[in-house]
Amino acid sequence: MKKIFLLLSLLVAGPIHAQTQANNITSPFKLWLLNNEARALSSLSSDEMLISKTSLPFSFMPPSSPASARPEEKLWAIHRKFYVLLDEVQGIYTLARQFGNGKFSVVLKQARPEIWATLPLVQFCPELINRLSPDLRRSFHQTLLKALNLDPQRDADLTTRLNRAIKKLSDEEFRLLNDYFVSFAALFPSDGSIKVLRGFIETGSKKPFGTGIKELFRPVGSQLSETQGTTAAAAPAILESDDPLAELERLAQFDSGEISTLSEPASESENLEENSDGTPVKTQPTELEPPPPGTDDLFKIWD
Amino acid sequence: MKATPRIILLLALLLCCETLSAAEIRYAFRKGYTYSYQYTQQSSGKIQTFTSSPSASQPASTVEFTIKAIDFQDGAFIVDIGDKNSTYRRYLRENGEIKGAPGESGQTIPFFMPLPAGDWKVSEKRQIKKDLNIGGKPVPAAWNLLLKSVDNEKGLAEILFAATMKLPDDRLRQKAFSLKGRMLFNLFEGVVHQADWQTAYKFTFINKEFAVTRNLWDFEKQVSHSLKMTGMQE
Repeated sequence: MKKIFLLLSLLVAGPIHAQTQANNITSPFKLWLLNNEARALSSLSSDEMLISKTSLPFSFMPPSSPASARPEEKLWAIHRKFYVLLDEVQGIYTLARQFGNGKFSVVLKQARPEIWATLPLVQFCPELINRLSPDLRRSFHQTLLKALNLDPQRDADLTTRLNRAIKKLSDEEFRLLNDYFVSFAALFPSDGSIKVLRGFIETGSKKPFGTGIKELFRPVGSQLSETQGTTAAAAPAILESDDPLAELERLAQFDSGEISTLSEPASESENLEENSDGTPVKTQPTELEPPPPGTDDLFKIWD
Repeated sequence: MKATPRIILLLALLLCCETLSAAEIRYAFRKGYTYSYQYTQQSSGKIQTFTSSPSASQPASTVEFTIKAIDFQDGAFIVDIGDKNSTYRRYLRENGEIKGAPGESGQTIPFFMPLPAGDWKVSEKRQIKKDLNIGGKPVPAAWNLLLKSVDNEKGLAEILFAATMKLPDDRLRQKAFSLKGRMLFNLFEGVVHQADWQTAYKFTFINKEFAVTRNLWDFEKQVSHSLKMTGMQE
């Protein structure tokens, strides 16, 4: 029994780890900078200790002396800003990867837990269903956003969020960060993460990306969602083609074996199967559609 | 024949001058006396990293301290060195070396500049070497001194000094440290009258992976020190 659990946990842990690695574009650079800082700090500290043993020539002077200038503190302060930015970039990138293509919002709309939650009432109190469903739907949506740590104010526009993070650096600081990126890329040419990171910051700050996440903040049944209901199915494919992330992912796959585990954007052909007469048929709906006219909608959810 | 007495006189004068241009320099704290000093330190530094160069400076900070000479025992002056915060008991030899520092037990005593023993001729260089033991590894250090001039009328000897120390480095961490200064030693009182010195430290941090080398950070620090005797009282 234990062996089965072990096998299962390994099977589950493998893809999770691979997914985390695939989404992680800042850690290699961050660790490189932190490691360099640690080595420099160690050298500075030991040198300071040695210098203090000879910088006072006279034995009749008291051992304590006034603190001297520490320009390295300014550099570390700039680096701390970099780390904040990198964490923010990583967060934005992860959100864009997870929800930016709009697929999750489609799945979410398909799930409709409020339907299944009210099923037992069909037999006994069908009149309650219409009253309960909207509240259940809204509650589910809000709970889900909280569970995913999503904030509509913060995450609806990822381009704006990225630009806001970048603007916390001055022009000189941003140039320095870019110089570090160039150095890291030259020192570790096989590391694809830096190319994705640089490309993401560069293109992401100029061109909208991950716009599919907006759909996630619109609960099913909202006015805007209904108006877009008929076109929502095609939205993910359109978003993906415009999304700079897709290009960056291809770059990462090309450059690095580590990040080559990034999944290709699902193509439309994956969801199509050939019918007996040769016409393609959708096997997995990408959007919950209203029932055909003439059939009774049990829950009247499209009203 | 007339020239011979003149030559003898000239030689005698030269011999006399040679004697005058040498001096024995050693500390001579007087028992029961208190010597007051003012020590000022000012520092600046910068880091060059690509096109950025963050810098920092510390304005001049002055500390006053006193040396109370208690006694002279077994070839060492027993003194209490104190500022407004604390006092340290030290046993100082006549050449400035530390014989004991009971208040600093367990601490590594710095490599202070010792004065050369015996007569020291003007323009003569002296070097005192020592290996500093830091973290179990010996770090070679040396004090170089030069007696530049002696003013017998004022009783002041001008001494130039410099410290060299080989900081541990490698191909990726290149370092340099230098200390240069000048002091006026009061020959009559056997104490330092005034001293000024500067320390400079440079540290270049390099990254290297296979054939690619990148110069990441250049640290530079300069510290100016100034010491001046402000008083002496019994």
